[in-house]
Amino acid sequence: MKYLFLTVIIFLNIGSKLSAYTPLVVDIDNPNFRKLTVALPKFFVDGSGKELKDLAKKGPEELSRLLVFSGLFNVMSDSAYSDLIVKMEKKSKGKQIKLLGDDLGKTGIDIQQWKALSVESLTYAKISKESGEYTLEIRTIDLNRNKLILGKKYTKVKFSEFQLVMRRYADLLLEAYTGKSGIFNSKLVFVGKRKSKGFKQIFISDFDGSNMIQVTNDKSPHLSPAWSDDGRFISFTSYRDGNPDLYVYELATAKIRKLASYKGLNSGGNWSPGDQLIAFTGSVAGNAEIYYISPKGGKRVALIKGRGLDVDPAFSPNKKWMAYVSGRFGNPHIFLASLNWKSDTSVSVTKDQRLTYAGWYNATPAWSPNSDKIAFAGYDRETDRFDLFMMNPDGKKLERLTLRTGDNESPSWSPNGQMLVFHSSRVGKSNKKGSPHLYIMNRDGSAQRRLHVGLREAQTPKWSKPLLSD
Amino acid sequence: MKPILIGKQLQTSLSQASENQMVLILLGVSLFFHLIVLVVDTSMLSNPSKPLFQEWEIEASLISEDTLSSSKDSALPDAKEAEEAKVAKNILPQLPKKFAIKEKSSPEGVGDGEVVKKDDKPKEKSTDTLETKNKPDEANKIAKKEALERLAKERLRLEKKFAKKNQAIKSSSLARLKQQKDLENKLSSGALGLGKAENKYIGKLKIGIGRCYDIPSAYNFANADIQTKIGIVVSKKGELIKSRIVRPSGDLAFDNVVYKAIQDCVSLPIPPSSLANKEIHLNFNPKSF
Repeated sequence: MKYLFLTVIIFLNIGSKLSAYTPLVVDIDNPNFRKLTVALPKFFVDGSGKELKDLAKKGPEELSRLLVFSGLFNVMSDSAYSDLIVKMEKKSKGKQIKLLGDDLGKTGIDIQQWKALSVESLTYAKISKESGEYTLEIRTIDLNRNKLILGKKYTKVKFSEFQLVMRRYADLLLEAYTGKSGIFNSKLVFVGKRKSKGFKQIFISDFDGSNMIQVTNDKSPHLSPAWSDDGRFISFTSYRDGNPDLYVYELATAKIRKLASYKGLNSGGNWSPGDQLIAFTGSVAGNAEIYYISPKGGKRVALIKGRGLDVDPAFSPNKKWMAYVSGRFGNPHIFLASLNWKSDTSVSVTKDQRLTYAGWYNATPAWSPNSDKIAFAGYDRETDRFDLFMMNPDGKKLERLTLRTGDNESPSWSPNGQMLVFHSSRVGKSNKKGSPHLYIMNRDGSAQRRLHVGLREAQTPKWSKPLLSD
Repeated sequence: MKPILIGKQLQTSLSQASENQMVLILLGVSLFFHLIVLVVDTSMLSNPSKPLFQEWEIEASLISEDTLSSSKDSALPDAKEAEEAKVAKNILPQLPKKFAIKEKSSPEGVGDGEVVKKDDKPKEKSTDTLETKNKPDEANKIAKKEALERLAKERLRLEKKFAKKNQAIKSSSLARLKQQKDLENKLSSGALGLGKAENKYIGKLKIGIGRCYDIPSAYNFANADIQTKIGIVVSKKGELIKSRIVRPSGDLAFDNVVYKAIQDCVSLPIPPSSLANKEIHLNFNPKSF
C-alpha cells in the first residue's frame, strides 16, 4: 500500500512536469490590407408601387457604388446570398419585412448565416411611401464586432432627394468605420476644355466627376483653381484682362471679383486654413516670388523672396508650415517654410529647408488633411515622365505612387486623406502621352481610375472639404 | 410689264422679309433657350436646393446585443471603452462621514491633529502664530519644513508597515512574471536551446502566416496599440489542427479578423517533430513598417 501510494505520487509528479510545456511565442506584424466585404441586399418594400420598387433596387446600387468608390469596401454580389434571402423569406412565411426590416438581430441565427458567407458588414433597409413622400429606415451591422454601428431613419424624402440620402448615409458609414469624415458631399474644381481649340475654363463637379457645372466662360485661358477652406469660394487665375490676374468666385452668389492684378504673375492661389490669407505667386522683373494677400483685398505682402523662382505655395492644414517649389539651387525642388503667425492676417517665415533632392523637377506639393504627408509631382529624366510621389514633411519616407502611365501631375487629397485626385496624360493603361484627364487613386497608389467628366481635357483638380454639414 | 415687275419685286421683297423674320425668330428662340440655360445654371450654383428630408437616429439599443452575441467592445476603432461608474447609479457620491474641513484648509501636514498632540506645546504654538503674523515668510518656512519632515516620517512608517505585508506577494508574483517573460524571450530568441530546425521553422511560419495576415483598412487599425495572442497547433503534415484566442486585444473586430485569417490560411510550413502537435503562440499586432 505504501509503495502504491509512492508510485502514484511519482507518476503525478512526472505528469505535472510533462504538462508544463511553455508554448513557443512568435511575433507577427506588418499586415496586408484588404477591403471590407459588404452585403447590401435589396431594400425591403413596405407597400406597393413602381417607384417604391425602383428605389428599393436603386438604393443599394447607389450605396454600393459609393462604398466601392471609397476604396475601402468590396461589395458582395447579391447572387451570393439570394438563397439565404429566399430561405429567410420562406421561414418568415412571406413576412420578409418583419424578419429583416424590424426584427433583425433578434434572430441570432441570421447573423451567423451572413457570417458564414464571409460577409463582414451588412446594410439592410426598409422603404415605405406615404402621401408622396418616402420613409427609409436603414441600418448597418458590423459582423466582426457583432454590433449595429449605424442606424438612421429618413422621413419626408422626395424621389429627387433619394440620391442625396444615399450619399448622406454612405458618408456617415465611412465615418463610423474610419473615424474620419466622408467624401460624398465634397466637390472638385478643375480646369477643362470642351473643345480642343477652346480656352481652358473653370469647372466644378461632384466628388466623382458627376453633375459638372462650368464656372467661367471667357475667351481667355484660366488656370490654377483652389478651394477656400470653408468651400464657399474658389480662387483662380484668368487672362481675361490680358494679364494673369487672381480672381475669387463666390459659389453662393456666382459672382467673380478681381483680387490681385499686379504687373506680371498673379497665380497659384492657396487659401490658408481658416481663409484669412491667400498665398500666391507674384513676380517682380520676371522673377517669381511668393506673396500673400487677404481674400477681402488689399496690398500683397512678400513671404518668400530670393534667387530663382519660388512658386506653388501650399499651407499645411495645421498652419505650421508652407510647402513650396523653389529653383534657388538650379532645378525646382520642394522646400518647407516654418511659419510664424503674428496674427490671423500676418505671417512670416522662421525657417526654410529643402525637402527633395531626388528627381529633376519637383512641383505642386499637396498636404494630406492631417499634415502628415506631402504628395507632389516629380519629373524623372530616366523615364521622361512626371510621376506622383509622397513623403513625410521632413522629406523622409519617399514613396512612388505612379509609374509608366504617361505624365501624372497636380495631386490633391480627399478630405478624409484616403484618396488622391490628379491629372494624367496616360492613354489607356499605356505609358503614351495624350490629353490630360482626371484620375483618382487610393493613398497607397492602388485602384487608379479615370473620372469621366465629359471634357476634351481636364487638369489641375482640387478636392474640397465636405460642403454640406449638419 | 410693270405690274409683273412690281409683283416679282414684291414677291422677292416678301420672301426676303420672311427669311429675315425667320432668322430673327430663330435667333430669338436660340437667345431665349440660352437665357433659360444660363438662369438655370446660375440658380443651381447660387441657390442649391436645400434638402427637405429629415434624419433620425436609430439607437443601437434597438437591436438586442445579447442575441447578437456581442461584446462590450467599442463600435468605433479609436473609441475607448467607457469606465464603469463605481458609485451605485441611484445614489449620489457621498462625502466620507469623518470629513475634516481643517485638513483641507491647512497646508499639507500642518493641520495634522496627531502631530500637534506630539508637540504638545500650545503656548509655543501661539507664539509661533504671533511670529507668523510678524514674520510671515520665516514662520511659513519653518512650518513647511516641519510639515515636510512629518510627512516624510509618516510615509516611511507606512512604507515599512506595508512593505512586510506586500513583500511576500510581490516577490512571488514578480518572480513568476519575470520567469515567464524570460522564458518567452528565450523561446523567441532561440536561447532556450532551440535547434536550427526550430529557428528555421519560426522564420517559415512568420512568412507563411504573414501571407494570410490580411486586415480591412476600413477599420483603421494601423494606429491602434493592440495585440492579439492566438494559439495554434500544427500537425506533422503542416495542417492546422487547433486554434484559439489566448489573449484578446480588446477590439473584437481585430480578434475576429485575425482569427479568421488564421483559419483561412491554407498552407502552413511543416513543423519539426519537436514542435508538431504542440501549441505555438502567435502575437499579432497591426503595426506596419
